[in-house]
Amino acid sequence: MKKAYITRAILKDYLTIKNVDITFNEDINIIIGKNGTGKTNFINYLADSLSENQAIKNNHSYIYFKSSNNNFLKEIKNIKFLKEVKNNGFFKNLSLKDNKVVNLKNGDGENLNEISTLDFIIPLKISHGIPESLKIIQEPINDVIRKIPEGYTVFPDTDSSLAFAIGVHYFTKLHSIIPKGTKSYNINESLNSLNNNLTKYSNIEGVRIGQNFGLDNSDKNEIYFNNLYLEYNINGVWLSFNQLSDGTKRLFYIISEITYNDRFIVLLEEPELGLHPHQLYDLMRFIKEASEKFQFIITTHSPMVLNTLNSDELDNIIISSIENGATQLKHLAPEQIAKAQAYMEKMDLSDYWIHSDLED
Amino acid sequence: MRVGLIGENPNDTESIANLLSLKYNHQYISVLKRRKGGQLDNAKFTALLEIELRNNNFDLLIFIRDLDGFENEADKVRVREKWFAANKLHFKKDSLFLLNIHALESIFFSDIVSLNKIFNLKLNFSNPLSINNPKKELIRVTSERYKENRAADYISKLDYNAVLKNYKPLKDIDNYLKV
Repeated sequence: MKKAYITRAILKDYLTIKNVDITFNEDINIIIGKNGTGKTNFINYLADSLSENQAIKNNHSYIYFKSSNNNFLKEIKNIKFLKEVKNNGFFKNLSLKDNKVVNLKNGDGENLNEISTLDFIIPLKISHGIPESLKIIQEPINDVIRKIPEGYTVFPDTDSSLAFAIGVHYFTKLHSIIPKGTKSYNINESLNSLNNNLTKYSNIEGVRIGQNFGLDNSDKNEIYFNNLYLEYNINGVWLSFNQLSDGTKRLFYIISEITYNDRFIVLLEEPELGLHPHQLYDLMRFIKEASEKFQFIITTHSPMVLNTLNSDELDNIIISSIENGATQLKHLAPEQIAKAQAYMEKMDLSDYWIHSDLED
Repeated sequence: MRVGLIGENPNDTESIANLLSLKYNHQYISVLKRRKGGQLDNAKFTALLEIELRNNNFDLLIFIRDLDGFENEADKVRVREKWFAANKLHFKKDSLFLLNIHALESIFFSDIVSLNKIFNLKLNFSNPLSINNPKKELIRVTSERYKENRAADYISKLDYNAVLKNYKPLKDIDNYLKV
C-alpha cells in the first residue's frame, strides 16, 4: 500500500498554467492532449513545486495529499512535520484537514534543504529522454572512498536511483560483512530485483557489474575502486550502455528508476518514446503493477498507453487543452465516460481517442 | 441542424463541410475521424460507426465516397451504393450519398473561374465528370501547387452555385438542404 499520494493540485501563474485545478487518482493518472497544450509545463510545475530547490514560487498554488495508511499520518505527526514546515515558513498554510489531508501552500520562503522530512513529497520525475550522463549505468566510476569510524563511507554523487541503490548496498555490505582485505564479493546481489523486472518486462535479459571492476580494500583508511559500471545482456551478448538502442536505454532507465524508487509519486513523460508496441505493452504492465506502490502521473501521446485502463478506470484520464491561452486539465464528463465504455464493449479505448471526439 | 459527415477524414469530410457551409448554415460534424478511404470498408469501420451514431444525435447523415471511376462504370457504382445502403441502416433518420466521380478533386473543375483565381491559371471549362483522375490532373495543371491536405481550404474559396450547376453528384444534397 502506498503511503501518500496527491489528491488535488491547484497551480497558478507559470507559463501556460494560469489556473489549473485538478484532482488525481491514487494509482495511475494519464494526461493526454495535443502538442503545446501545457502537459510538460504542468509536470514541470508540479515537480518543481514539490522539490527542495524551487525555481517556481507562487503564493496561490496548493497541493493536497492523502495518506492511505493511517500510520503514515502518525509518522508525520511524530516527526513534528507540521511544526517544522510551519517554522520554516516555506509552506505557510500547511494543515491537516479531517486528520487525512495535508495542505501545502507554496510560498516565497527559503529552500527546504534542511527539512529531510519533506523527502516523501519530492516526486521521482522521468522526463523525455534520459539524463546526459549516468554514473555506473553509462559511465564507469573510478574513485577513492574514505572509511569513517561509523562504518559508512560517502559514495560519490549519483544521478539515478539505481546507482544510489548499488552504492548504498555495496558499501554498506563492504563495511559490515566483508572481512578486511577481501577484494570482492557478489555485488550483483544489489541487482536482483532489477534483473527480475528486466527479464519480465523488457528485452534486456539481465544486467551485471562490468567484468573489469576492480577493488582494493586493503588500506586501513581508504577503499580504492575502478571501473564500476553495468553491462547489459541483449540476445545473449553483454553490451555497454552506449551500445544499446535509444529505446532500450530509456526502457532500462524507466524500469531501473521505478524499481529502486523510494518516493511515493512518479511523474513520467511519454513512456512510449522509442519503444516497439510490444515493449510498450510490457512496460505499461510493469507500471500498472508498480502503481500499487506508487502514484503515477503520466503524459502520453500513445493510444496503447490509454488502453492500459479498464472500463472502471476512465476517471484516470485527464484531458489537457488550451483555452484562451491557458492550459486546462479536465477529467472526462459523464457522457464521455459512457461513450468510452460503449467503445470498450466493442473496440479499444484508443479507438475512441483516435477516431472520435474524446479530446474535443 | 446537426449534419454528420461520413467519409475519408479529414480531407473529404472537412472539404464537404466547407463547401456546404458556403450556402447552408448548419452544424457539420465529421462522424469518424482520422480514417483513410481504404478504412471505410472494413468491419472496424462499421463497429465504430454504430457506436458514434448511438452516442450522437444527428439530424442528417451525408456519406461521402470516391468512385475511383466514371459514372458509367456500373460495377463500381454498385459497390459504392451497396456500401451506402448497408451503413445507412444504422441511422434511423435521413441519409444522403455524395459519390464523387473519380475523386473529390473533380469538384474543383466544376468551378473553373474560382480554380483559375486560386491558382492563377487560365484553364477552359470542361465537364468535371469526364476528367480521368482529377487529383492527378489538378496537381499537374497547378504545377504541383495543389496540396491534397489543403483541399478543405481551397474548396471554401469556390462559388457554391457554380459547383452546383456543374457537379451533378451534389444536386440531391442541395435539394434536400434547401427545403
